[in-house]
Amino acid sequence: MIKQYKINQSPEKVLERAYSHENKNRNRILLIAVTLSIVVMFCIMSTIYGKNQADVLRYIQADGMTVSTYLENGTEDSYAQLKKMSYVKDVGLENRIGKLMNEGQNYATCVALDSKAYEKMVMPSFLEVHGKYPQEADEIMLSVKTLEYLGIDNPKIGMSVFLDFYWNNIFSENNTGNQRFILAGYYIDLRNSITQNSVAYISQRRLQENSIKQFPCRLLIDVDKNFLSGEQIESQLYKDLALSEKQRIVGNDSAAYRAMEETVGGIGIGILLSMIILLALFLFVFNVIYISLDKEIRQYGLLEILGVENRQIRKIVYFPILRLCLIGSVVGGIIACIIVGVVYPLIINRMYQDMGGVRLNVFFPAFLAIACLVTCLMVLFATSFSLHRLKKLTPIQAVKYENIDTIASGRKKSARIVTVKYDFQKKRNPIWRIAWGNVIRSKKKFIITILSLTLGCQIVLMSSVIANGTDFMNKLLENNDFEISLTQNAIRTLIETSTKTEKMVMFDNDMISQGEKEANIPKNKVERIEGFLPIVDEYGQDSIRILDSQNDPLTIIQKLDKNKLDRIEGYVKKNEPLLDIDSFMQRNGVFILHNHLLSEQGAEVAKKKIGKNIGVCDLVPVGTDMSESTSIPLVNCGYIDISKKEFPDLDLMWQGENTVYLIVSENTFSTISKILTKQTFQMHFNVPDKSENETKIELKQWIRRVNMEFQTNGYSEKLNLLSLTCNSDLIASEQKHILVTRFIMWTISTALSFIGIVNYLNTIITDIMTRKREFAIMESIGLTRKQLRWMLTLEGLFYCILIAALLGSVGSGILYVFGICMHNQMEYFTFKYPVGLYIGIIIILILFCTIIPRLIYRRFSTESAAECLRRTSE
Amino acid sequence: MKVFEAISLSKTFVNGDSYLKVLDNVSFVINEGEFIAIKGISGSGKSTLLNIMGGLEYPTQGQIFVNGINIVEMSEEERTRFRLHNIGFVFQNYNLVPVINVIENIMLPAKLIGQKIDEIELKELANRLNIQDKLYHMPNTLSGGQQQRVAIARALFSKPQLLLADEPTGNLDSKTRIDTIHLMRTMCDEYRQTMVIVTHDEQIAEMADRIICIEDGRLVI
Ligand SMILES: Nc1ncnc2c1ncn2[C@@H]1O[C@H](COP(=O)(O)OP(=O)(O)OP(=O)(O)O)[C@@H](O)[C@H]1O
Ligand SMILES: [Mg+2]
Repeated sequence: MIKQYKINQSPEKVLERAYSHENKNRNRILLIAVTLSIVVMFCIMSTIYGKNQADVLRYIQADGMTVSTYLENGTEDSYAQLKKMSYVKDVGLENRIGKLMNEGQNYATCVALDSKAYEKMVMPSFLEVHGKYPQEADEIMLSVKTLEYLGIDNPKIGMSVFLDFYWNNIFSENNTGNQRFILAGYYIDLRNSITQNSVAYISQRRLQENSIKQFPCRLLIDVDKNFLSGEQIESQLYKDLALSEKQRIVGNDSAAYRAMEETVGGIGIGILLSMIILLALFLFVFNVIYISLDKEIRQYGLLEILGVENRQIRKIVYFPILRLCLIGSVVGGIIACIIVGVVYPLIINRMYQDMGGVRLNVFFPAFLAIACLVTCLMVLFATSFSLHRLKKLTPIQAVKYENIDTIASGRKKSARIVTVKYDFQKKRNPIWRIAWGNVIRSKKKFIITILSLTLGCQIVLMSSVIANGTDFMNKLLENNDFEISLTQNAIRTLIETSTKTEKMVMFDNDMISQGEKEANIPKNKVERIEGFLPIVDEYGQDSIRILDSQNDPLTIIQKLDKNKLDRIEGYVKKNEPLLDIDSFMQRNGVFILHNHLLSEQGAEVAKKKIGKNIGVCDLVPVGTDMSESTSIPLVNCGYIDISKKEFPDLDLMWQGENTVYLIVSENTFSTISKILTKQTFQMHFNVPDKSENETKIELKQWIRRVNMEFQTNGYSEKLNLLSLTCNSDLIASEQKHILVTRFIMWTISTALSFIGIVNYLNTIITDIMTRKREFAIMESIGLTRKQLRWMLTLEGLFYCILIAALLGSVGSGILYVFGICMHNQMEYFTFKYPVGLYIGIIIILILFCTIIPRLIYRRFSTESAAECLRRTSE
Repeated sequence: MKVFEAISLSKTFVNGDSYLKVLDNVSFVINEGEFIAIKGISGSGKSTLLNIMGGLEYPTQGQIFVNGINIVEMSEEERTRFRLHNIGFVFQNYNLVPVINVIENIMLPAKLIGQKIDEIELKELANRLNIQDKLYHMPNTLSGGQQQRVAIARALFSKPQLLLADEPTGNLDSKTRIDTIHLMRTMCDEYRQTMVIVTHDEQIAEMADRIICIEDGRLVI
């Protein structure tokens, strides 16, 4: 071997190789860190991305459309304008022009789409689709729900179906009535339409053949601005489009926007989270490199004295680290790819199975590149940061550098503390003072260790707060166990057709007491949503008609309790200064609540309507002479759009869907109730958990009976009077989604705590390794090994106490502020201080901090003191 | 010919509130080929002077010329390069790079300059310093004295024009000590090198061409 010694290797190579060899352990740790960092970051990004994608998909499916912005009454001109706009990706045409009827009941809306609207905007929201979009005038595409309704369980493309078709415009009678359609296609969708109407698609040719003009129609607008809210997009479009009075833009938050909001409760918090993750990783890497360079500074000083240039030293330091970044990127990349590319799809797709076989693609290579880049940059930055010290030192200072940190030197003040305390003559055990001295000896190391450990724990606490707080279950658990509501369809039908009742109470007390008897509805625990079904007089209609909606919304007066009225008051005072809050509170004022039914021009008109009279009369059977009935005059105090983000959640009936609410103060309400018949719209109540299932079965039976009874009055068997919502069903249907979210949040927090633990282990191990010499010296002075171990334990305890204090004080403060921020972002976010976890962390920390150093020390202490002294005195 | 010139050097250490004037307005000249010993009691500033001479520490005041070039005004990088080509060091301790073996330690400066390695010359030198068996060992397996001799070998091998040695023989027995200094002296004459050696040893001091003695920050020649 000696013979083969290559004498002429370049000195840089020799040194490089020597240092790589010398730093094998450090490089291994760093390699693990780099790999871990890449894997964790990539996984986090991919999971967030994957979850986001799943949410987007969920929202798109629920919306029944990929776009969330449209222009009502769009003309050819606005179509052309829109197509020219830079931020409009696509414009689709949607004509809602007809309906399918059965025994007087409208069960499906007929819609004609152009190919763009269908292929780009509607089709992607289907769970499944068979066949093609209708091309011929007699072709039709139905939802599976409609087919079931029609009694067709086994649909075939091309089969004939006989349907009652009518145009919305009652004056066009061409091709109406019962006729043969050919089933061109059918689909399964997940639209959560409260109005229960599904959509039947017809061809554009059908319009042409019946000389129905393409325009005006609804223009579906695909806006290329995912980071803007619906409101922002809407106002942007209003600014950029020249619109006529009848035209109205509706901009809802896009699926992507809502998903983003949900994923991390806003982009801001997302960024905050990534910053914390990066900081934790940085501290980790920095710590490793800093500690390892600590002992090398002296050698670099010597090299400098011998004439090795700074540039060459940098090369010696950086080269192995660069190589390590490279290896780490490759290894981390492979592991991450396996996890994200193979394991994730298995898990996520299994969990989202019921999304109709849609395969979520969470693998996004750019994320890997980002993860690698960020990690490598961080490592290099941490290295240069640690190496920075060398620049400030003259070679001779560098050569003496290590002395600063070890006990052998008496020059540095802080080190002297330790030496001074070596007073073994005293009876009192001096170990704890030595331990404390050791803890605070090197300020930098002390701060970094404390900081990185605290941060690690804080991250665990934080992610637990996020995981628990954002858990969708919180939102669901706030709901009532059971809600029995009148259906809108039944109300409409009754208003239009009922001739029977004198006092038209739809959900009457007989029915309720019957329910109490038959279905064990707990009498005194029931809460009701009450109100009136007013008939609005001619003047009043003026105020309501400006709320443009093609579906002719139902107008109701809903009773709100004091608390909710206060919230409306607060909202109006803060956001709608133009409204007449005084009339509302003191006199017979009324606020008109609607779900985004005012166009910009409409809003101008609406201002003028404030102060106008709205007369309301009691509901009477069809055909009653209205001129006799007494009307109560109310004063229009203004319009409130409930779709606005700041608008409080008021538990409005049917969530605002196709409904206009007249809201009055408590006094006005009691005035009205003297004339108008009070209606119960909804009953809701909670039952003890153990009887929930039983109650559910009983309620379902009872409601079925009520509905059947109702239908015997000559109504269609599809028309239900009451509907039952069981929270347990909702929870069950959301269960998978909740599980995925939990899985993701816990993955992230586990990964982060893992980093924290590795960081700690590294700090401790390197610390003890670099202190071997010091231990040897202490031993030579006369400390027993038992005392040394005790000293290490004490050091660990000191760290624990400090970290626990920091976590408890500053950490809790941050958590609390964080909780408030999250709550502002997401209404259902519930902040709970994770006390159990905090205690758990402290206990684990104590175990770690006290046991691990002892174990490591035991491993090293097999050498004799002399051996150790000699080996490290180089 | 002047190889080294110091002009009114002063060095004061500041430690909190206390000042320690180690060198006080010191000037001297060293000529090519001279073999000089520096003496003085412990703590008198010998090491400090040597470090300043080699540009490892800054003087508080004064100028230093090596081969007529002012090294005080150089940048750190320039000084490192200058040191590589002109000055060799041997210290009291911390002499060897611990991660590379003895032979690489010896060859390091020569390689850095780009000299071609003459293996025979290297072995010869190792023989004369009696470290020939240790060439492929790591520094931490050597005794203190052996380490010092390796450092001397390293300093001699690249043949710097000016060699500064701080008690290079502190760990050696008196016979080895004399032999080693003798070797240095021979090399010094052979290659027209200039050497400055800090020592407490009278015998060594007597082998020098000239003795510089430091007392209370001043030179007594
Ligand atoms: N970096 C420094 N900061 C403060 N004082 C210093 C520093 N370096 C040296 N000194 C002081 O300067 C004086 C001279 O130190 P120096 O190392 O030059 O002495 P010396 O003559 O080499 O002693 P010895 O023979 O023991 O090696 C000493 O009193 C020392 O304490
Ligand atoms: Mg000295």
